[in-house]
Amino acid sequence: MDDSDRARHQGSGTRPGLGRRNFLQSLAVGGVGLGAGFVVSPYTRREITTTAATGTAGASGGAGSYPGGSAYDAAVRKAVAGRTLKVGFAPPIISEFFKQMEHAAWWQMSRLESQFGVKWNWELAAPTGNFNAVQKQVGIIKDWVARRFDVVMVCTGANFSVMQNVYQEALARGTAVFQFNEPVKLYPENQLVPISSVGYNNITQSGGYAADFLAKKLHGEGTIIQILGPPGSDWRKARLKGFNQVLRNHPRLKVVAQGNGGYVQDKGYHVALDLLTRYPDVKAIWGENEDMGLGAVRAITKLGLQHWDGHSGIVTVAADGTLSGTQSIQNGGLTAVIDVGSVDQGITLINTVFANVVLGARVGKIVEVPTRLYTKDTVKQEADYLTWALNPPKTY
Amino acid sequence: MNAQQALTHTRRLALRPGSAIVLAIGVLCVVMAILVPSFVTAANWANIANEMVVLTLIAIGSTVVLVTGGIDLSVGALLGLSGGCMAYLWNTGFSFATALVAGLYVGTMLGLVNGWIIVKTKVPDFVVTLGMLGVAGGALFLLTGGVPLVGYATPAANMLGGVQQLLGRLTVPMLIALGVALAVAALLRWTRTGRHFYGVGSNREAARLAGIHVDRARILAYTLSGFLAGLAGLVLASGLGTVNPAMGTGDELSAIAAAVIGGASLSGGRGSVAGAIIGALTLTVINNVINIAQVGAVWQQVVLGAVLLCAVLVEQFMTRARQRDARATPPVDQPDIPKVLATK
Repeated sequence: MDDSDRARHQGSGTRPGLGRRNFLQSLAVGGVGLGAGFVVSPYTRREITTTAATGTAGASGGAGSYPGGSAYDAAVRKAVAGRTLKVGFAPPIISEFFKQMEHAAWWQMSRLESQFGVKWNWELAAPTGNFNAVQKQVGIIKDWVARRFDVVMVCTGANFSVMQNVYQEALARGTAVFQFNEPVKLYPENQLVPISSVGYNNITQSGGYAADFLAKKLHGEGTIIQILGPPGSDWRKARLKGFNQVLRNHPRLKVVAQGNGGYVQDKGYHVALDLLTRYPDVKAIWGENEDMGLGAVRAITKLGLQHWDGHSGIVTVAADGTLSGTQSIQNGGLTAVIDVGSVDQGITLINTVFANVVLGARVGKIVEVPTRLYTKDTVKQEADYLTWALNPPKTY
Repeated sequence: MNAQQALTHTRRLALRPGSAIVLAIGVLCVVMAILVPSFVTAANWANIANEMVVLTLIAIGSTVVLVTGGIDLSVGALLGLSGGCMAYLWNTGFSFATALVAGLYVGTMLGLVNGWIIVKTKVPDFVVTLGMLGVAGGALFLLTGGVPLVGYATPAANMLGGVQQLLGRLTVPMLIALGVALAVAALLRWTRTGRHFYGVGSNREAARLAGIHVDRARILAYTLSGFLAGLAGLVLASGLGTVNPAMGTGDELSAIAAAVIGGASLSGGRGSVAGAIIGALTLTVINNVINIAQVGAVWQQVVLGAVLLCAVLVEQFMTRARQRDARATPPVDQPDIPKVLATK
């Protein structure tokens, strides 16, 4: 069985216990057998673009375990031969978002373990509380490489070129490097050193998505406050680019103020307080991430302003997709959240690693998961999904 | 008062610690009032007053430690852990009062541990408090499991955090900060313990020879700093309605910056509550100005750094002028050490 045969098998069915949603999602991510870059998202029931569909050759799988039937399972199990993978997971900080991602990864690891016998030796390490603790993160990666880890998976706030050198060194010493949740679209794909970068398109799938939502909600007219991450951040650059691209099509939507919320809630809260005091008549707030969006929600409450109630009030949209965000929507705080796929990224990451490192498949340089926007009407589905992800059958 | 006396009085006033900063802030406020009228609204100043509460509390704590010649790098982590303990206990069914007391207890006890280790082991202050920063910060991560603590935003929490006003624009955090400022100012100015703090910070050996219980004074200073960090944690956690695993990270530097801007000396023996408040106000107003004047994101750090640098340089210039004046004229006010000695 060559890679293409295997890829076809991987895309040909689903496993008991995997919902239609997960199977469709695996198609969206892996794009196996579809050829084109469009599928119908099971979440939004609308067309979404999946770059991965044209680039991953299906090896990254998706949210489900590997389909293929018992003969295929036996063959893969034989190839795996009970191998243990030493894996390092290095997010830029420990947060709710990355915890969801880690738990989703554990879900998929336990599935692959029971199906194919692959074992996992998992380590998590991250600088505490500081997105810019680059030196610490580089140290963590070098330590894992020195300890001969099979795989390191990294998301970093570090400079692009600095990290490519670190990854180059790791690969040269036999450690496979995978990135996740990075705004890689800002850089030429041929300069990406990691084997694969699992994430989403920050420009269109987050910033642009938020602006689209606001334009629709405000009927193309109104004032907006932007609460952004720190200047210099690649995430900020990418999302802002997407947001502004969409705004160009809506000349009556005006950004009246912009503040640095540092990706944390207390700073987002204080910036929003200051800006809302100056612009109390603002129609919408875009929190570039969810923590800052939640800070803005708190500021609206503090100042006695009205949250969006379906007819009037301030519309607040943010991006991440955490359980805290769903609770805020349920309580009438955030109007909408864009789930940028913490769970889907965790699952896809493990599938990509398994396909490449264990099965020897070629995977795409950039693998994108779907992002989806949810509001009060759809938040229960999202909360259920996240709750499921946070309770894997096995922890590592 | 003749012209000469008025001039001398004005000069003395101008050379008082913190006066340069107050002047700089005054000028900044006038400029802002002209450029951005919304800066001078009551609503904006209520925001500033609320925003500066947490920083004021930890800056006062840091000032007390600096006065005794120490430095506390753990206040940010103690703040986070105290707030985390409160939120955790509240979420697990304990009463509001119990959760508050527990949060304060954690901050106070860890401050006490800081002081005890420093005086008993003679390990430098910054090493011990840096270690405590790691311990308390890590403990908060363990407590939260990396996930924000939420779900305790009750009316009582909103009141404590200043989300709901008490009367007009007055909030509970403002009253807390005012009460703490008055109490600690009284402690430093009118009590023997306060004078001991200055004595220990000015010259530890001289203070020891004068019969001051140096170790006790230092432990007390760290305990007070821990208590105030804990109190700040409760206010911040209540105000935000959530405790992030990284809450308080980096706040120790803001606290020390505020204390130093307010005239506290890193080598000990000098500092005041009024100075800490001025320092906290300076940092908060600058941040507010940066936000509402829409200073470009890239320029924000430059502006903040430049304003602080100018303020501290002017303060340093004033200090030298004061020293020249002191050398030229007989001391009007006795330094603290002789006062301490006089009380024994």
